[in-house]
Amino acid sequence: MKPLINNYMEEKDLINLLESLPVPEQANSAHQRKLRVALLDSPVFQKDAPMFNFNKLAMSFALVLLVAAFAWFSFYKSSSNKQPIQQAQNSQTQKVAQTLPSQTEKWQTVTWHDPANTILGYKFDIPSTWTEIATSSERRIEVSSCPIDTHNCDRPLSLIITTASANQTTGYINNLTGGYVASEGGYSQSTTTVAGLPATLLSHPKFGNDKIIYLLKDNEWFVISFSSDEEADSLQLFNQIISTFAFTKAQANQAPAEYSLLKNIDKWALTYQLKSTAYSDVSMACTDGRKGNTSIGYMFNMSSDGFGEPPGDIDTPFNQVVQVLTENGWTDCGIPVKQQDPSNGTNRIFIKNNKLIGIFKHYSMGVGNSLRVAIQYDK
Amino acid sequence: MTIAEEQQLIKQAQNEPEAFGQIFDIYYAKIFNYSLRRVQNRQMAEDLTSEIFFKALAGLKKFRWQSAPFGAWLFKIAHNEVISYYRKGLQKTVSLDQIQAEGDFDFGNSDTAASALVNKESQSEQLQIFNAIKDKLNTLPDKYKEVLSLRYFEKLSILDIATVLEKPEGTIKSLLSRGIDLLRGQITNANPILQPFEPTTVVINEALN
Repeated sequence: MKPLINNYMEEKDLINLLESLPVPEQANSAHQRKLRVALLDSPVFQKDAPMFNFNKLAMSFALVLLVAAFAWFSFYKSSSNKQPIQQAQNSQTQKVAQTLPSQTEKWQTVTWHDPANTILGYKFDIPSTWTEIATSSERRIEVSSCPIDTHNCDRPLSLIITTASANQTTGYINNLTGGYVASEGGYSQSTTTVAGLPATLLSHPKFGNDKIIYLLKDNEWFVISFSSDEEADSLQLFNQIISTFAFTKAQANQAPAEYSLLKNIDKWALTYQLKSTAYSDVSMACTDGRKGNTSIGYMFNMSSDGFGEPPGDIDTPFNQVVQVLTENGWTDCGIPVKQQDPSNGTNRIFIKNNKLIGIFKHYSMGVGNSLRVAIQYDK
Repeated sequence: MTIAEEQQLIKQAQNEPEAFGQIFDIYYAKIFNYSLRRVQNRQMAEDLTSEIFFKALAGLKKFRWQSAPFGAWLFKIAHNEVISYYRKGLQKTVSLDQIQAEGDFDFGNSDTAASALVNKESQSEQLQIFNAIKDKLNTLPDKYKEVLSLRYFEKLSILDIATVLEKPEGTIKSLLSRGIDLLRGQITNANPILQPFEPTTVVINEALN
């Protein structure tokens, strides 16, 4: 057989080979299907958003202009007798304040708790202009200065915190704590303190003020990654955020109130997700299209599994959940027409005070049956 | 699909989910496989693909059809996400063999009809060539690896690569030329693996049958 590549290959031969070589691909139809449904169900396409009221906006704008003009006039009058150097200092101070809020009190607090572990939680403060980004894991939080379209944002700064049990570490955690990320990634390593605990700090000279901090507490790894730019105030911002980081304990009311109604029915595994990444939440709608309170950002999930006939089946807890909800004033509002295929499982959606609870029962040959109760929830 | 048709589709997709669905169907495999080749981890590639399309959806109203088409804009988001992924230190190394062993392996650049015509033996041989070239490519500096991958694995045009990497077209051509030269040097200086191919233990999934 004539080799397709050999030691005497000309440049044009290599180019021809590269251009003609089929590139291997991996089909992933299940993920594609789920993602497609989630994207098409995005709030971006929802038509029941409030209509744009031009008159109201114009009046508001005029009012803002009026107030701004008055404020400017007052400021000009009061500062006109001061020295020019003072004016320059004021201007500089104002510029810094625009990019870096200096008052922690003006920031917002982000909190996280593991729903399955009441002692595992933390909180930290971020500038009020930052937002939480939807992620695909409930053990990961991402906040960013650019909430929507990172590549169109002037200063994309972000902070990610991931949590992993020391008993079930991933390859990345092992590489991180084993020092391989530092040595192979070119990070300099030092020690620091976070929330009073010793931590390891990795800094990368190539990527501005990028930092990785990891520490171990209660047999859990906490990894804080800061993606940054080279501006000095971004480092200051990072230090300010880290100074607010604190471990917390989850309170009993972390779960939605409806949880207490249903918790004794079965042995549940609890998770919560941002709705935008909870793919199955496309099922969370009534037959008539009502989606409940879409401003509620989370889905609280109670999941269990079973097999065969009672006891240990999923039909019994399914029926009990339906009964409890009905007895407590929840109304069955059907399911979307496109979901009305028994082969997809049995779904029931309940509504009360414009809030939805979905019950999803799925039979699976060989691997057991599953039951999930999804509650619209704001943590 | 012609450029005019795609332009119309993009415009519709800003308000109509079905139109966005069509765009998604066109680009899903390209973006997923790009992500998979870059991070070499199936789960992470799925997560990245999700993030990329959600960002594309969120930013679609800002998209303006200028010199480069929508695909380049989408790859630009993907490129930024992959860079962000590596900068955040979330990479987990998995061998290509392991990826292939995970299953659903397919050959051919989204052209399933064409790939179906390729027999298993020839696929195995092509897979070895692909892996060998990819291994050599991975030894090159990032700037060459990136450009060569986009050109020959993702099949992007020079203009599209320039858009994705935000570099002038001339720079892309230079990087390609120099990259090819370096890759050829790597192959020349190597290599029993790139010599006449013997059967190896490369895993080809049963899905190929």
